[in-house]
Amino acid sequence: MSLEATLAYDLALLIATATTLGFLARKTGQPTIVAYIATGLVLGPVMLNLVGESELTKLMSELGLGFLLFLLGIEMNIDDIREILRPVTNIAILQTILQTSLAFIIPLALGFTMMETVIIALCTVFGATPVIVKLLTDKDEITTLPGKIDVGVLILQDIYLVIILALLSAGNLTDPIAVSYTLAKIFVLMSLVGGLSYLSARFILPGLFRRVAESKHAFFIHGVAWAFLFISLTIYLDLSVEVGAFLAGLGLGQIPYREELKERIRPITDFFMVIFFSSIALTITRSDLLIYWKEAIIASIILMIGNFLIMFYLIDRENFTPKTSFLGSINMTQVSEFSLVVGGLAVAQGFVESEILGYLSLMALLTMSTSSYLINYNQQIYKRVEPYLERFNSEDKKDVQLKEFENHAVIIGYNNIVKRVLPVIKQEYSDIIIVDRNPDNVEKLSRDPDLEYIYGDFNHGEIRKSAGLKRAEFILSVSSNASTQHRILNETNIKSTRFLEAKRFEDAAEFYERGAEYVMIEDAITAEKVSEYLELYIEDPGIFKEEVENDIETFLWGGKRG
Amino acid sequence: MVEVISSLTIIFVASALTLFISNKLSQPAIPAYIAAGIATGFLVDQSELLTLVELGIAFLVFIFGLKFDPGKLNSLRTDALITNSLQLVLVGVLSFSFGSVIGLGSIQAFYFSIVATLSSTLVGLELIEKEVDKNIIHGRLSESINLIQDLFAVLAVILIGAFISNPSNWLETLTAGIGIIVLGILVRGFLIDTIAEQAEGSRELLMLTSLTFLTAFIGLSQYFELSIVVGSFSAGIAVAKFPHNLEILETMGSIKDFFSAIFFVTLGALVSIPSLETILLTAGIIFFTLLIKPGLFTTSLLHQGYDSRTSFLTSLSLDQVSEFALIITIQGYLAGIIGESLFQATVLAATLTMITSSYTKLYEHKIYEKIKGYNILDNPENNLPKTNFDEELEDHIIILGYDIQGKKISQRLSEIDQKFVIIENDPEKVTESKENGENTIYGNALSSETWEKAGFKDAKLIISTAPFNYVSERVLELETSADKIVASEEIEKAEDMIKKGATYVIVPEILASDLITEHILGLQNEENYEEELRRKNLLEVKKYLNSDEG
Repeated sequence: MSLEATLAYDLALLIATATTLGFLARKTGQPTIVAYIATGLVLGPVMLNLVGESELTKLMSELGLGFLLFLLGIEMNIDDIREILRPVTNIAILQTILQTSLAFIIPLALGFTMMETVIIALCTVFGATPVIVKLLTDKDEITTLPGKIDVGVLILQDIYLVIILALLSAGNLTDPIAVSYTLAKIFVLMSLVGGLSYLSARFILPGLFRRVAESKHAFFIHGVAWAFLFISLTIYLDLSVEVGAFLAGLGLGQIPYREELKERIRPITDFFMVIFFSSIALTITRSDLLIYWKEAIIASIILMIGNFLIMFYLIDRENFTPKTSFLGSINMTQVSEFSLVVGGLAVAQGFVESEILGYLSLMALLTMSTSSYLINYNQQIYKRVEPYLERFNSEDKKDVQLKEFENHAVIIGYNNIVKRVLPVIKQEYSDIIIVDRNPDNVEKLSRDPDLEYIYGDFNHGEIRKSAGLKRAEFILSVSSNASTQHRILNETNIKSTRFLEAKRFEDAAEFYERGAEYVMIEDAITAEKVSEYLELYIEDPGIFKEEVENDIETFLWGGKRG
Repeated sequence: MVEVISSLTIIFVASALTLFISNKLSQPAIPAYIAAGIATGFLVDQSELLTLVELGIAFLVFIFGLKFDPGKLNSLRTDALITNSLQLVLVGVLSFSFGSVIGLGSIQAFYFSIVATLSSTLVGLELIEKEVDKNIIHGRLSESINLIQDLFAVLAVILIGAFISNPSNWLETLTAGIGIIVLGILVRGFLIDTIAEQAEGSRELLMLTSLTFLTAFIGLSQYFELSIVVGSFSAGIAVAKFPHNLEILETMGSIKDFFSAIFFVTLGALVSIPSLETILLTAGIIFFTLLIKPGLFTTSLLHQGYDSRTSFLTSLSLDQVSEFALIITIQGYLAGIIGESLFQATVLAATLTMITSSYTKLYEHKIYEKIKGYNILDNPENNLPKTNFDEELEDHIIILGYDIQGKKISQRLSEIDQKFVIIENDPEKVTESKENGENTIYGNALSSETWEKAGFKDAKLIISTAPFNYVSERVLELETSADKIVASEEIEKAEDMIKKGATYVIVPEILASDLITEHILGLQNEENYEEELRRKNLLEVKKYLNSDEG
């Protein structure tokens, strides 16, 4: 059997182009998303027309979105959301109203018909979840306050999207009874799904995952199976895949192994998302794209500025600081690719012609690309604008503070050596963070009041950031993975004292070369000590007996020291 | 697309369930996936999944190529490599003959021989992880044999492509196959470092680069009408340069897990109620895998001079069917080259042998003792123990194992003029010890002749540094007035050993933690402690590395 020849070559071409453009983007300091979108433009009907959309790319794109939202759900803590639920709901509702109005006025002013305007307004109100989530996650800003506000608004928008889609597919926008029926159905089903997720999170999941957490395989598959269950459920119920996956992730977000799970699912999500972004432009033809190009440019500019101002006003209204308001708004200026989905449905149902789809696509492309830059450089832009935002500052405004560590001890891995050394570390350092991925230690470590415990794989960037590696004074790593040690050496300098374990002498030599202060090779340490003991045994058996008494005591107590 | 998502849901949920069970039973994952497939086969439409199956094969073999480290082949002497390769060929020839005799026809017999000869990398290597880690001789042997088998597998695929799938063009196909592998090696040598540097540590770009090479090489294989296995393996080799390979392994590892789950489950789904022919073929494969292959290898290793336990344990670790066999047979089946029975037999045999091999591993020593009892493992040429000294020893120290600890201890003892003798069963370490002029016994710690030769009754002290319980117990059983120092990785066992008469137990973690605690206190309380610590230990490391090369 062989893969359809065209299929393999299409996928290969897509990936190769995305990679090349991605490298170019990185070299020139641009967000990779733009490169992927450009891939679709270059390879698709707009320019070279070498590649078209296929079942495989559609599948990967859909799964990509699903997993992305699943990851997002895992990332979010229910408590986090609960805190900001009220303000976010206010913002979301008002934003929808205000933005729809804005989105209404623009096309009308540009000369579109009423029906076209209605459809366009419905489409362009959504922020692009994939773009925002991906960029913010890459920059580690997804759990900051502006990030959480944006995500909250996006999720609520997604629910709104489901309603729109359902209404459009019912084909009936005007009969109030049909509309209410659809709305009611959606709410009931959503609550069911949400409830299911919540209940399993309380009762089934923690036990289930604890039992499989030690096998990487089983753990990963369970997580994926969970995501798929919800994705299938929501497809079956005609609800949004994205919201279903989000709720599934939210349910998992309570178990202590979620960091681990996230990091295992992330690569495949990234892979699918590249396909997703690359295939956005594969279905757009050049003529459709360019037919309303003047209107699209004008509308995009106005929309972006308008969206920004609306969000800024709304967030500020909820008494967040100017910085939060600024960052929260600058992330949300684009038109979502959902506009294409909604637009496509509208065309299929005969509400509008396909040129409108082209107009929407161009707007989406323009705004997504531009806003990628804005999001990427949001912090820098904020710094520039900060002085002008002072006027919005006032006493009542505050944000939540995040705890950061400095001059602390970071321990990577938890084994018996660490256990025995911990007392002296606790004695010498006031703050201690332990990063470990063995589920057997979770119970014990999370209960220890003298240390901060992070469950996860140290090789993953987010985990290292949470541990505050760069600012640590003492780092002890008993990881058997040489790449972990190299990473530590990469990201720290001689200001920290680094005790690293090595398995082979060649590795040890390398670590020393790169500045490690002390490398522990278990075999060598043991050999050293044993030879010392032997010498004693031969030359002064009395002292030998004394020296080993202590250790023997320890054995007889079964390894527990007082 | 909706149907595909439902199928995928069924696949993953079923796998989650079977994995849960296999996890509890400490069984490997692959049989769990296949079982999930067998159980849900009627629910899933396999034809939709075949594209995803191909992706599964691609990623699986890519990871093999990624992990393939030709450097590891250097850990064995060249003659050992050659002999073991020839041994594989012998098993292949025997199974081919068997296949022909039972009427499979030469093409199917060739496939049969592939299935019977190759052992599992995923399952097999996982089982011997600890032995490889501790550099135990039979771990090294198993690992090398596994590596050789990977190469054979890829070669077999090229041969199939050249002579079976496309015989009219065989020269071109053969050259292309070899050429693609060479290309992979060239990229690894020259290109990949430059590209990886450009990625500037971006995981995303590294992943994309790997994917690009993967799809490019696969495209190349397909152009020459070769199986994607050739391309995937070469792509893996191409990208596997350290240190990038670790990053890539992690990223691609998750992707591979996703697609390989789909692959194995679909394999299971393709299995229907076995016909008599299938059952007989399964039995034939199992016969070769569990009996003939280990048997032949044991004999061969004995002839190469390894002791009986090493020979047996190495061969036992080969007692499962390889996932490569699964890949090759499913491709053969879907291309219409082999029949349904042979394909299904492979799947069933693989599942069964992967499960049994984890049990044989668990009870490997007991099985060895049993077989040894039948006296079929002795090789008269191989009359261990062998010594390089004649004198009767008294009041000496017996050192078990010439590893890092053994070496250090012997150095120290020489310095203070204490007589000692070394017992070692790894031929390379034995050579080293003899070259250093030490009294050495090439023998196995579990045989009484070895201890006789070592004069255990007259020794002052017996010290065993290998943290394997079965060794320590053996030492403690010896009837002698000598003091005994043994090693254990677990404190809990140490208590046992003291009670059984050990004078002291080396528990590495205690020694290590004591030393580290000392250092941590030193850091805080003494100036310049850090610099001294670093300087002294760096020197030690350099000394060790130089003496190793010398």
